[in-house]
Amino acid sequence: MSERRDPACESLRPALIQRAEVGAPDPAVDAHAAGCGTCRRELERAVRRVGLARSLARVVAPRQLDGLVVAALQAGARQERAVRAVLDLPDVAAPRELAERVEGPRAPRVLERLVSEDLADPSKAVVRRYASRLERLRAPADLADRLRTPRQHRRVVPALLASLLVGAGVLLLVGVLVLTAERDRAPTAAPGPVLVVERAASIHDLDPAASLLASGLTGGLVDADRLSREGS
Amino acid sequence: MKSDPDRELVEACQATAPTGLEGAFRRLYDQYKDRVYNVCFRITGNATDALDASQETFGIMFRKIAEFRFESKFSSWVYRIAVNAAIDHKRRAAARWLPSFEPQNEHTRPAARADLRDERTEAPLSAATRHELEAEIQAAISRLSPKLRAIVVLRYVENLSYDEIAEALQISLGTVKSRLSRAHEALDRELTPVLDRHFLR
Repeated sequence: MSERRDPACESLRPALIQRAEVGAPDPAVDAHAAGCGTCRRELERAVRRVGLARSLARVVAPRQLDGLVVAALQAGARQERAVRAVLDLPDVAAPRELAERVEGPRAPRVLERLVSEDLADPSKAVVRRYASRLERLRAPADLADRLRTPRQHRRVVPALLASLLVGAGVLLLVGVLVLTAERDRAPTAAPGPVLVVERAASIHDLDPAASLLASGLTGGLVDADRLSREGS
Repeated sequence: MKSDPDRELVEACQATAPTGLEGAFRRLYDQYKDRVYNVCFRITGNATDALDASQETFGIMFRKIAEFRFESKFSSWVYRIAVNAAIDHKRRAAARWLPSFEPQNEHTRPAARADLRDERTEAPLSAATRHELEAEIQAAISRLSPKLRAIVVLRYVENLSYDEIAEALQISLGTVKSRLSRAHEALDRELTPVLDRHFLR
């Protein structure tokens, strides 16, 4: 076992090992070992260790290794061919949309803008957002026709209407004048209605129309028909 | 640029694309397969992982050989690939390793005992004892940190010089020495029972 050695012994150790390996005398080591029991014993043990290590037999590679190496070489050649085939592939230009995809989605930026608008002026932001969603109306087709039509033609309808109104006014005036003239020509004392008063002594003598009128006016208390049947 | 014994072969490989183990690739593979497998086996500690790490090492080596500019020795470059592949594989395998209630470690796994043959240490140990000793040394090396394991393997199994180790691991010569010194300290702790058992009885 190794012991705690003197620094002089420690510094001599590599030389001591070489002395044990070579077997040839080394004046420095031999002189030291002659006066140092620890190093003398260490030298003896080192010689034995070297002898033991060197006693290990040299092993011979088994025949099996040939086949394994050939397999490794063929696998390596296949791999190299595959790599070369991949490296020889033509360069393909990246599509333009790749750059757009790499840039990333823009939604976050839109979201940021909307949020900042809401924070700055909420009502204005909401109005603007919803006003922009109102349906856009399309101009009616006759607008284009109107625009194409000359301005004087567009006034025909109102002019015709005005003419009709003036005509109607004239006719009305003429009618009024005619009626006025006719009234002036008619006699001023027109015959009035003739009122005939007949007195009946009995209810039975009433005219049927008058008996019905009397029955209606009295709520049925005066029933001319019943009275006339009882009287007869 | 340095003179490299493998230069001609490497340049022949660089002139063509690797499709199989033919021509220069076969010669280069034959030249390095045992060294690579040996490093991978000693760092991973078992034959299965060593095989996978070796396969990976040669795969990388042949795939990148056209880029090699001889700024270091080719062998140093290969060792660097092998060490890194083995350490990576070992780390991945450790992450996959499920805990077991059985007392088991790497040298008791069947693959770890494969192909351990060396007659240099035959006497005075018996064959059974030799296998046991090798397994214990391998287990001790496997318990070192990856950095120390790599330096022990390159130095004592592959017999690389300090300079070659520095080049292979891309570290300074001083770092090689200090790491080797720390590796000896760690090995001393690991191997003391082994030393006592095999040399003091």
